[in-house]
Amino acid sequence: MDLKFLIVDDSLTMRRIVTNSLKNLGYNDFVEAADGREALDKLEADKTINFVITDWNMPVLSGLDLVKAIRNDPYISNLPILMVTTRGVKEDILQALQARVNNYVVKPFTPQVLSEKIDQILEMV
Amino acid sequence: MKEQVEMQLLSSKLDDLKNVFKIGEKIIPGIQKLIDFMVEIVPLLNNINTSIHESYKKIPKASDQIIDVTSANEIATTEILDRVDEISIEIEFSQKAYVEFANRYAKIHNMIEQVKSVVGDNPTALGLLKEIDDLNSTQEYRAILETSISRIKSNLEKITITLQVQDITAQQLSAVNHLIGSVQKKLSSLILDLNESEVNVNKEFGVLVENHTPEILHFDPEASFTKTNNAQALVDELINNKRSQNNTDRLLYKNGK
Repeated sequence: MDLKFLIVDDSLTMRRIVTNSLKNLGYNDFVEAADGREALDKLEADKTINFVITDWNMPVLSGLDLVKAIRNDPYISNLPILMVTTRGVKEDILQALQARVNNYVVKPFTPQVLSEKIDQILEMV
Repeated sequence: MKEQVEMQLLSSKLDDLKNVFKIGEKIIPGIQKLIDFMVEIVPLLNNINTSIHESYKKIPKASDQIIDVTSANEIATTEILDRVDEISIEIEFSQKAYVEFANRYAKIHNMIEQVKSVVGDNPTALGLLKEIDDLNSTQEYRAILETSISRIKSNLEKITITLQVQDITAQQLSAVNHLIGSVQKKLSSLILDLNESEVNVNKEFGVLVENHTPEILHFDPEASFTKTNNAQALVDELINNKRSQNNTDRLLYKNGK
């Protein structure tokens, strides 16, 4: 399966690190967005995006709200979503799972963890 | 009779008045002390007021400096990531060159083997060919090179992981900025209160700067950078629990059908 990733993070550094990690894993197709609103616009404009990696804390529209928006849109509700965030307390993780993220990575992460979570998601979808 | 009653009333009123003076004598020193205290406290309040104004004036600068630090950190991190990328590309080139080198050695080795079969039993020629083959051998260096490249790659990966600290510190700095914004808000209301009081307010500071502290936080105030990622273990545990619960639910649903 050819994957086209949408990487959503307000930190340029994090977008870069996620992209580099994905490149090292052999993926080469990426689209970036700096907040949830921009991500929705990108999803609207590019129907070939088939995997979303999003941060939680972002201006304009948070990652959690982005997940909810995606899950409520019948055209993209089944998109695989991986949340990559600094939020590591139980309540936050449960809240994200409740919003139906497919998997969750806590920063700082290793490329191995990222790879493992992507693989787990792909096995399930 | 009526005059006697009036006199008694007058006498009683005079007694009351006398008592008032007596109380007044007792209270006046207290009031005087209060006035003295107020005289002393007003300059003090004015000093506090000036300090509040000065602190208030410094807050936007402090806030801007924090934003500058975040921005500078991001630029520096991007620079480091650029270098990491360049080193990775260089390593890829080196690896390719090394593979090519190893292939050439294999060819030379094959050629030496062919020459050996041509020269037959000539010990001098065979000795020289062995010497050439040994000199060409890359076996020993190959292992060193492979270990070295692997170490460089591993260190580059570690650098990349560590650079995630920039995002985490940026969130921590945003939390500090938010805190500064809250202090500024408190000082604003304090200044307004002082403006309404009798305390002299320096009109230069009279105009309050609008506070831009966002109501919805777009940073994680609890963000932290630790080498041991225990939170990920918690995530995995919760996700596994959820999965097994989902599987159980699915099974129960299937059985119930």
